[in-house]
Amino acid sequence: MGIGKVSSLAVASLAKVNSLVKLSVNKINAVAASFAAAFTDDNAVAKSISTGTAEAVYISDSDGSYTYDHNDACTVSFWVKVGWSTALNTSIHLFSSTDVGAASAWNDLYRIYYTEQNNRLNVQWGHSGSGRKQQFWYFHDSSGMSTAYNAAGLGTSYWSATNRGNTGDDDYTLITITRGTSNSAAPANLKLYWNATDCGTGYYASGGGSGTPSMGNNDKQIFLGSTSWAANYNKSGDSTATKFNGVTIWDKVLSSAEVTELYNSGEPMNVEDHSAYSDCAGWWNFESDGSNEIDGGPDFDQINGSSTVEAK
Amino acid sequence: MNYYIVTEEIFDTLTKENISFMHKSIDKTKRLIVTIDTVNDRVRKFNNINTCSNYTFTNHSDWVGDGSGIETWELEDTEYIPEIDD
Repeated sequence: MGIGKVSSLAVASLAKVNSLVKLSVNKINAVAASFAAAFTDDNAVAKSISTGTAEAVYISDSDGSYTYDHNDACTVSFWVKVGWSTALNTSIHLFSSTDVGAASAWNDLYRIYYTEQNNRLNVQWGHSGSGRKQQFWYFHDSSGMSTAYNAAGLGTSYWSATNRGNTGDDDYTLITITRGTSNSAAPANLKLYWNATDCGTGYYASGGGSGTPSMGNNDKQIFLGSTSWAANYNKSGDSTATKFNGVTIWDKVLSSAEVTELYNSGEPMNVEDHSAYSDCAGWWNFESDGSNEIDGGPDFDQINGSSTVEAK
Repeated sequence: MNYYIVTEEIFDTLTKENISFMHKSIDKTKRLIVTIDTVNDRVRKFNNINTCSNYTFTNHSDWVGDGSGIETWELEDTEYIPEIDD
């Protein structure tokens, strides 16, 4: 075989290899694009207004993958579509966490709850009645708490299914609480965002509560839409089920810009694309069940009774 | 602490700064209160926080809209603030 023949064969082989590589790259790109396009957000979890374990939505962590204490920086965020009425006249628990099997609230409690009777969104953590921190914002006073008033957009009426205030897509509101490391509910350490808007200083200028919380790192149970202790698992609202979507927990204080990014102009995002994703400890999107979108993290494996994953 | 149910009219005469908890009945005619003061003109007096809470569970339709009641932690933690709670 002459050199010319060898050269032409080599050129032909290289061209073949190139075309195969190109095909493979195109194929890889196509597969990657299909994964990127796989994020959907059609569903949410609806917490039944019926109460008790048999109706609860929760994680019962048993492997230590979700723990925190009183001075761990963290952010909790979730989309919520309010289902309660103006006649609720009591509290509804949106996010509540205690030690696994907690008999009382004071087993390393962290909770975010709304008291309909006075239109307050409350945050509280602690280990006892004399070791707790708390803060609240109210939304119906344009002069006394104007920042929260403007952020929520509820006007002078209270938060309910007939008055959801400022919402993103599909009547959902993104509620985000960021907490720093100082074991204080003072505004410098604790912030509330309604959608992407900082609600400003809470009621207690120096933080509310009593004593100094001292929480452990036992396995935690997290409940959506009810209390997380004893046998009642109540305070789930009235009228219609309240829906939750895009629940995330972060190992840091999200900045205002990062909350804005998470709000994503009102549309729940693929959190993998968030700039702080490496600090995301848990993400539950409730597309088909309560699976954690982060590998190895605990699932909302208990979605019980009339509580269901359903269309947003 | 003292635990009472009072009418709206009597509530208006009380010293608000001494009240640590206030919850209106569903029909808005009565108030369940926790106060350091002694109130003689009342609808009902409770011996302690537990009997007060239990009463609201038994009579929940008068006090809450979700079929539960007012729990003891709510009586302790939901601070009444006269300036913002009407």
